[in-house]
Amino acid sequence: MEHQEIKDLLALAALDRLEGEEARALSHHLAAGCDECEAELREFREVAASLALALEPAGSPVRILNRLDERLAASAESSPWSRPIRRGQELVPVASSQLIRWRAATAIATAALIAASAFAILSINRAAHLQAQFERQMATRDAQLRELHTRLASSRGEIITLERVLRDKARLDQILMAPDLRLTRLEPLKPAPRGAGLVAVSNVNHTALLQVSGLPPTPSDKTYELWWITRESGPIKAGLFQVEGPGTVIAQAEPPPAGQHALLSAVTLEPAGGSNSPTGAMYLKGVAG
Amino acid sequence: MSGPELEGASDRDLVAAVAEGSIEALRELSSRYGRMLTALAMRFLGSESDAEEVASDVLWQVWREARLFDASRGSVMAWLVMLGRSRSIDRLRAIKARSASAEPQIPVCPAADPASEVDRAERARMVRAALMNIDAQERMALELAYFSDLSHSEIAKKLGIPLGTAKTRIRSAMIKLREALLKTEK
Ligand SMILES: [Zn+2]
Repeated sequence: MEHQEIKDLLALAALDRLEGEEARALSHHLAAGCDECEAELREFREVAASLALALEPAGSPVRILNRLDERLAASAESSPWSRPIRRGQELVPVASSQLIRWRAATAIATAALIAASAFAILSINRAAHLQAQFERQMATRDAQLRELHTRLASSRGEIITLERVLRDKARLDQILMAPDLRLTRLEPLKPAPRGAGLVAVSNVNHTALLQVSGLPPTPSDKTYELWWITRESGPIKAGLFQVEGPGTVIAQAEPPPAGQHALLSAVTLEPAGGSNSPTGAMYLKGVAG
Repeated sequence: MSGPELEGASDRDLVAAVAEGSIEALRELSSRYGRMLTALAMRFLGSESDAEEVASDVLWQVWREARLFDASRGSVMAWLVMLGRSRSIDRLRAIKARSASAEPQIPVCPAADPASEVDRAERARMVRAALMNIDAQERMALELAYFSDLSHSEIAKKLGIPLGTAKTRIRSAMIKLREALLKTEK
């Protein structure tokens, strides 16, 4: 079809009711790069949208918001770490350090569901919902893991992964149910604008878990390092972890020493083997809740 | 952004904030457009409860896809309406599949509504005035095309006119509406 014939179709096209050949001809024409038709189609779409505006508004804003909240809560249980979070401020440098042992583990993203739900709680930022959310998560988690089990059981390699997931699940269980659970959201800084992280700490269980996503893979001569920044001792080593590819990393960390309260948590990139105080670029940072 | 800032923010800024994870911005979009989306969905579905469901579906989709929004391709409102229409049609088809009874209603003139937020209310008023100046048969064809999932041939059949006439009426109504809106915007 020629430009003029296509142009005549645009008013109808804006209503998404073109059929067969007309629809194909239009998309060919636009794909070939006709700016004029594209602009005019856009204009007709705005015209069409204004028809909705002319209607008398309906429904209850409160009910709409409530339904939206339900969906957000439900989706938080199934689609976790992909959401970016807002950027924090730069860290004030502090001195001193302490050496701490720790272990890191990488898990497939499914394990992230559980900690991610905690993340969603923070986003929704309504403490009153915390308990209900947790209960729902506890209920859905076993179903998720059962399904995961079924899917993974077919392959030996995947079973190994599953075992790792279950190990992480046990850790997550332990920490998420701790009476003194504290969660800190780590926000992305310049080197990893899509980064996100969550730190869960329980002093009662003497456990800390870190979950991160969106960090670049660790260079071979480097390591990521998690820090507690305490009032008493400044930055304290909390552990090392590696990022091998896209997806989520869950790592177990050492909680802040007894009697010390972490004001901030941060992730920096350090020389392999780790440093005793932060020396490299900071990738994530969060103010302890 | 926080409360008062959000209220003053443009739709585009709100979508950008939603893309950055701001639930508050999403709520502000909900308060700006939730009832419009519900009204839109009601034209398809008839039921207020189903329509509210569609409105919250759309906002939820905005939450997930805000990063895909491309301001150079149209306004936030047009995007929301596009999503609202397609979610409404999905739901309408699902309902139709369950029971053969859901018939799209022949549209009536949009009713007047008390002014809420000035800009949107003003634009709504302009659109209504523009619609009033369009020939009733053309307007009906346009509204049927817009507020239903009927194909052009089904619209023609419903209105008892030839297919070519149906298309001409819809197209002519769109062009007149565009002209009227352009004129009032000047
Ligand atoms: Zn063209």
